[in-house]
Amino acid sequence: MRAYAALLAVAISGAAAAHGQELSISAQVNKTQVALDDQVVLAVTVTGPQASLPDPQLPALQNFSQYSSGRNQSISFVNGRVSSSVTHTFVLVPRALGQGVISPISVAVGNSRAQTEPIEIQVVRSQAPPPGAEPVQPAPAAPPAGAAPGQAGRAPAVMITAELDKRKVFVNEQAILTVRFYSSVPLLGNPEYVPPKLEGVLTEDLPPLRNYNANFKGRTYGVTEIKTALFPMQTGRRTIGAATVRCQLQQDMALDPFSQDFFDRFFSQGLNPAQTKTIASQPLQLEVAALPVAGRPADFSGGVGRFTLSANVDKARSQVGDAVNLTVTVQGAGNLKALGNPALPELPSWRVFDPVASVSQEKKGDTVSGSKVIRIVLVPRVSGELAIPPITMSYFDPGRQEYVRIHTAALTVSVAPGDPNAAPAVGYTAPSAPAAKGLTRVNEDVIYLKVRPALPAATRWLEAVAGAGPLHSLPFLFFFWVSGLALYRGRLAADPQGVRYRAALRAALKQLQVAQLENDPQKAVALMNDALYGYLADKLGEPAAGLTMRRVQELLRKRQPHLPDPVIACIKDIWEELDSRRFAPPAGDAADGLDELRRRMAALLPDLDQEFKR
Amino acid sequence: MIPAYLALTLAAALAFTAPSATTSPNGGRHVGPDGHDALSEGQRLYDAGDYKAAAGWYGQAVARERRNADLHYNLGNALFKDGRTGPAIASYQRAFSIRPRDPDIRQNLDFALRRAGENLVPPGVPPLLFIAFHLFSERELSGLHWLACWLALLLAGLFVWKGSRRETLLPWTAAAWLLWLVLGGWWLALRLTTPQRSGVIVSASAEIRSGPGDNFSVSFTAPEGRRVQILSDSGEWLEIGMLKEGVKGWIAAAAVEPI
Repeated sequence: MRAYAALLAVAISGAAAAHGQELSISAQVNKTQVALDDQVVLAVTVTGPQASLPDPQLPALQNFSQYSSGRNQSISFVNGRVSSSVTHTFVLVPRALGQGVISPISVAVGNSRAQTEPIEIQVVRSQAPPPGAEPVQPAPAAPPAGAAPGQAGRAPAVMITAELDKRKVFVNEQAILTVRFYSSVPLLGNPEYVPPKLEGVLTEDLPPLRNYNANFKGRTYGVTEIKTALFPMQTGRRTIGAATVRCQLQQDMALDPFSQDFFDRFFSQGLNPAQTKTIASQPLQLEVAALPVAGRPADFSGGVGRFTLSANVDKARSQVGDAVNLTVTVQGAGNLKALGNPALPELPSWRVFDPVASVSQEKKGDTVSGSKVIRIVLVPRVSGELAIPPITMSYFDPGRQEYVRIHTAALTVSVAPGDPNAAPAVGYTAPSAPAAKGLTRVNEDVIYLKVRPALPAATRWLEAVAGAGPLHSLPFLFFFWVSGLALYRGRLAADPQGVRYRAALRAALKQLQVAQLENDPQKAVALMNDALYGYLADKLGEPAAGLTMRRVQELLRKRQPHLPDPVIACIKDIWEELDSRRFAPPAGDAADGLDELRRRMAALLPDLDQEFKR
Repeated sequence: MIPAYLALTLAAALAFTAPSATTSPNGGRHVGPDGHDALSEGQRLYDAGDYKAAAGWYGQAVARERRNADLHYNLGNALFKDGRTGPAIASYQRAFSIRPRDPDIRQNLDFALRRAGENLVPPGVPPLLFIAFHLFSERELSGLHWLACWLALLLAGLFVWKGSRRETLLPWTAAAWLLWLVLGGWWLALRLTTPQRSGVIVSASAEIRSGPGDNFSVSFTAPEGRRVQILSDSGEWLEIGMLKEGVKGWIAAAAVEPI
């Protein structure tokens, strides 16, 4: 980076608008006194809170010819805020003796505006060069392009040439384009230079402009040389377009303006009209070769040139949760803007934050070089001697035409347990509960493993109960069953007559079945008698003891008036048959006709029950 | 006789549904595919700082025994130490859903959640109330509720059947029904307040879009580890909602680990 003399530095803030307070502009010149054949380098720096900053507006400079010599921008992101700084470099060539003034240079963003203070530069006579030291350069080998209002057979008054330092390069390898503007006559006003059109090529200006004299075909020219570094991004044949210069010349005149004669010089001034002339260089071809695939390392960073790699930490001792800044610096010649960040090794003991990179370029000896600085915040997770393994990166060296791997030295940081009074680790809010008295909370971490993982028995059983599914219907069924039983039992207790009435037929038929199985005819008759008496007593609500057929008939006719007489007659017939068998057993076999009697009863009782239900 | 019958039925039901008394199908050992004891190997790797490998072992153990809260907890520890906060929170959350009263599980889940900008105890809820409400897991509460149900119905049946002993049975029956009611209400409340489908965001900065596809605009982003409710799915996209923020949107299914 050029070391300016910093003879004058002015930084003036612009308007006091809220946003404008951060927009600023400053201007520096490398000297405030300059010889007529020398040049002044003006650096204008614009800084602001946004990534894209406008170009400064240079005022018209009466006493100087101005040439742009490139711009250098740096952007930084800090805590999510963007700030950028752009330095524009201009080369000023004095045109007249005396006091020259660079008027305030301004820049504006929206309503915000800032400007510099005026800068005064004294232009003095150039000292006579020592004998034999005239800076005359050799004439260009190739016939220059352009035309001049010169005499036939003579070299043109102005001309422009362009040339490359090499015709074949690798992708991203630097080539130098040199454009020379030759002028053998005084120019009216500043010549307007239009750089060549370039596609697929990144450019970097290579200041400063060089001015010297050269002879060509016996004519002396003032030469202005502009160099540009080219970094092709695409392979194949790239065309470098024509560089053009638009200038105003005095038309041919009879009087020689360089004559030593006073009258010639007097009358030659301002008498002839200006002529606008545009001259262009020949287009050039640049062969761009792809980088070899064979042998390309996995950690190839995309860099082409020659680089070195270094790393350091801002502290050798830290503590858990306390950030350590790791700075990785890539330095060397090449297009640093196309260089990727070197990959970090695995750092399990560190919490690694996103890197922040900045590029600083220098242009010395027609070579773009500089450094790329990557800053990474590391927060140790654990205490101990924590190592940061070597960081590696590979680049392609076009001189050796091979990939080169470089690496940093291993670093070690001694990490102590965290300070309980220090801020917690980034991104984590420590619990507010203070440590107990006498204890010092160093750091918080997850609690250790469960050494004997097991599912407690209570949990297993409860989950088993939860998964029982349809079995859970059992208690409900039990409850409803018990409730039904209890209800029935209650009803029995509340209405014994009704229970007897409803159960009469079933009890009678059951007794008949018992009687059928009885071998003793007398006992069987007694059972059948009990069945008939019991049935009629239950149905009529009378006690079985003392029930007579007459009473039965009375009650049946009273309570069941619709009962047919044959049914009553049948009852009476069976009643009497049973009485007869009970009190006067038949001679012979007592079982004779007993089955028939039982069947008649079994047929009668259901029919009679149906009648009772009517 | 009836109570004896009911008790016998209950015991038979539990014997039919209860799992083995051992902690794993291998009698307490979690043997990996190559014969190593998964737990011992996982612990050894964890102690050696190889958290990724430890997580692999614990993942195998969890796959064989999904209802073991301790295994989920250990898996969460290994994932967390490996820097995978989202999957770690998912594992801790599973452990918490199985055994929420374990203080270690609560502590580590809360610790990991705070990394994702959340807290285990919702803002405004007294911590003690939260701990009491989550004393039992949902399945444990379900089991307790059914046990109370069996007890209440048994005592109610006795109360109805044994008319002569109703004075003695009345307070016990009333207490059992009250217990059933309380546990049933607790279980219902826990079910209603716990999303039936939930998940954890496991990608570093997940983009939640307005529809199920990359062609829909990004509505908002969510950090890794944020717990979300899964509302529906459509192919490889899930519709998620975040109750705390009151927003919902669609996210790639791969960015969410269901719990």
